[in-house]
Amino acid sequence: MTKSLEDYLEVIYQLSLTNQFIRVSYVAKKLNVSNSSVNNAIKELTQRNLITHQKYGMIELTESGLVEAKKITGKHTLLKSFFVNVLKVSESNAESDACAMEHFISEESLKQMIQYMKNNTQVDQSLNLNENLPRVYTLNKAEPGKPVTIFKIACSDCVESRLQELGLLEKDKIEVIKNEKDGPLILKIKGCNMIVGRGICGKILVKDAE
Amino acid sequence: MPNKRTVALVGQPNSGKTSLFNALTGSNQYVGNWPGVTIEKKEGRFNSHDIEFLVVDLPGCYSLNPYSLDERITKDYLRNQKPDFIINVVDSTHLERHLYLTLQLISLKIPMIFALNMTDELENLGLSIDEKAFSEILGVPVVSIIARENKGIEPLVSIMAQGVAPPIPQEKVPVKPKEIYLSTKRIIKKVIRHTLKKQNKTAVWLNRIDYFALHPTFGPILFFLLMFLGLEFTFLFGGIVISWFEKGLGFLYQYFEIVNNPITKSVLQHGILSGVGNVVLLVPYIALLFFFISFLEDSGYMGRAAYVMDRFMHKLGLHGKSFIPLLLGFGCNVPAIMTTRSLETDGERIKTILMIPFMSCSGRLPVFVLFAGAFFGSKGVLIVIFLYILGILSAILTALLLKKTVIREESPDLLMELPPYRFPFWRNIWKNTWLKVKQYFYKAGTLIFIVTIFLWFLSYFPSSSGFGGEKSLIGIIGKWCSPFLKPLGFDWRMTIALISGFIAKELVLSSLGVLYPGGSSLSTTLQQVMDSKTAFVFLIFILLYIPCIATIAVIRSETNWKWATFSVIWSIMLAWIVSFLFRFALQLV
Repeated sequence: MTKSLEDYLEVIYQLSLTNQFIRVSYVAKKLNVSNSSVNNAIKELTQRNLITHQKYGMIELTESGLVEAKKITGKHTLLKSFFVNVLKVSESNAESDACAMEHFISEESLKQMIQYMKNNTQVDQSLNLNENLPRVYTLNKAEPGKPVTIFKIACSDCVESRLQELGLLEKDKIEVIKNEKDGPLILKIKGCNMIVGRGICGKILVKDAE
Repeated sequence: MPNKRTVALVGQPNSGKTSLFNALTGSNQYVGNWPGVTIEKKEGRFNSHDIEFLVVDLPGCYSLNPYSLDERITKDYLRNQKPDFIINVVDSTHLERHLYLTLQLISLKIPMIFALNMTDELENLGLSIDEKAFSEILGVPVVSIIARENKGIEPLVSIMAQGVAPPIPQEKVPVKPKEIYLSTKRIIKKVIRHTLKKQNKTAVWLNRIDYFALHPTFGPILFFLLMFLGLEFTFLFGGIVISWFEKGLGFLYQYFEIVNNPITKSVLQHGILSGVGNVVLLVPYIALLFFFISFLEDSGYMGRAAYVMDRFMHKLGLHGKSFIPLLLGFGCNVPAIMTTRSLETDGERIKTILMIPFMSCSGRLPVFVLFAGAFFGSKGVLIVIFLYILGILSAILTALLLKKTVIREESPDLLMELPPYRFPFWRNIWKNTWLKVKQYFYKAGTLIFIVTIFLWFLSYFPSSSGFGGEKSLIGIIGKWCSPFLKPLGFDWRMTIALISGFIAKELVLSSLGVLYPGGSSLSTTLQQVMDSKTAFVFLIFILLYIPCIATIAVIRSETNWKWATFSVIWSIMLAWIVSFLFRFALQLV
């Protein structure tokens, strides 16, 4: 994947954390590029099965896209905190350097940085920066017995509206009652136990509930 | 004031609409503890306060945007029929979700009464509802009821008699799901009161059961164990009762010897006793089987079975919800086929509908039981279990074949409610069982009686031929049809039995009873006229070929002629081939 594609993916991920819907124009504005170049990138990312782009302009991360995006974002956060906390680089330079380096830096160097920061108690705080990002994952990976907050539902329209009518709504808290290795899940939604197929759950993004 | 009113029962699945329907009208409609029991609107009448109420029980729906066929029925009814008012039945222990539909209904401005069902369970949870506040917020009359125990019905009826106005809610009802749920949350905060929580030991105990019932390995084991026990239980108790009945039948046969008129005597002995009598005789098995199925339905286990079997059903291109109609097929194929209306896609419905006829129904059970008892003695149970399994395998084969050829679409993901366990309510189970027993007697007294007399007629005339001989009418027909079944080792009498079995499977027994009349019981007569291998192959054929005319009719009405014809041809073909293979294999042994 090219450097700029990674940037697009990262921005889409960041937008997905704050916005309900992501449109081409949002991405263009954030990266300060034209709509058509975003469209090109979108086309390529779709081909790589990292995002889905719906006909009325909504962009959504696929499961693998999410994993990829989190990896890049993780690198970015780590690099930036290394620059700021260890090297005492200014915030703005740290940001742009991290942006540039995140695409090329080797796994080994990253590991060493983490090791260095771990050994240095002074910068423990900064490590949390990495963890402060809400951990978003698909519902089929949720641990049974733990409450989760619905982050985003990305099913087909018909299933999505049915889920909403059954009370599965974004920002709502639900409990995963049962989640085996395969087969459907049992979720407690609005006080009712619902059996929900694994495929549907794979299209619902959640994060740990506070 | 009009003295006739139409009232529709509307609510989410498993909220107890049919229980309320039964309580209001005194009917005995089938109830169960799983979503989707009622798949068609049912009507009943009752009089009170000089008004005739027409009550319409509608299939449950989660919202007014239908997702499956049964939900569509409810929506269409509300839109086209315009009842005078509706009763919105809700499960008060799952208020937050059930209120969703209520708010949608309120926004339609249909006059309604809000019936809070299962308030006894709510009390057990340590909660109570402020009916007055509720009524003010929603702008409709609110009544607490416990439908299955007939409690709270009188206050409800008196409100129904007073007349109901369109709802005047305190605040405007929102449209979007998110907003509706915010509203329900607010409303619940205002109306729910916390009281003293009762110690509920059964809940803890039942949760422990769920550990096993929902376990990926133990779950299926538990399911098969339950099925096995159910059959064992049916056989054990059924067998005891039957042996008394058989003695009574033999006694009556002797008793009719004193009748002088030869035709009357023959009708009584050969027609009624040997024909209809042999069918009625087996009613204990029917009762026990339905008792068991009803027990499963009422306890809430059906939802667990659907969950546990989902993995396997996906291999057939189906999902767990299809498992419920299949399971109900063991009772009777006809309602089982109708239950498929709660499935979401057409492909899935057709596939399930075509599998159901292979589920050995209660019509086949009496035939199996009698034959198994006659030919295999104590091993009879194993033979019957083998037949059930063979039926299931044939259904699986059918599904796989359809998946590979005509209906290739992937099954959608499972999305269904898991009902809470409820301690089976004996009155429900008893009523459901009694309903089926009555239906069985009714069938024996009408359809089976008429066809048997017809068969008797064909056997008796021409009277010179000797009863049921080759020269009688029936003998001529049987001889003419039998070449088709000769390769399976069936004689013309067995052929006639199978032909009458098209109408209903119990008729196999009646026709054998008519064609092999004897003073002793049918099972002893059968032992004299065929060997156990032929009997076994005969049972296999009976298991697999079309269950009855009613099943074909319902397949046609739920799908189309094409699929009904397919089902007939496929099942006969499969029956023939499998029977032939077994006969061939048994000859080698």
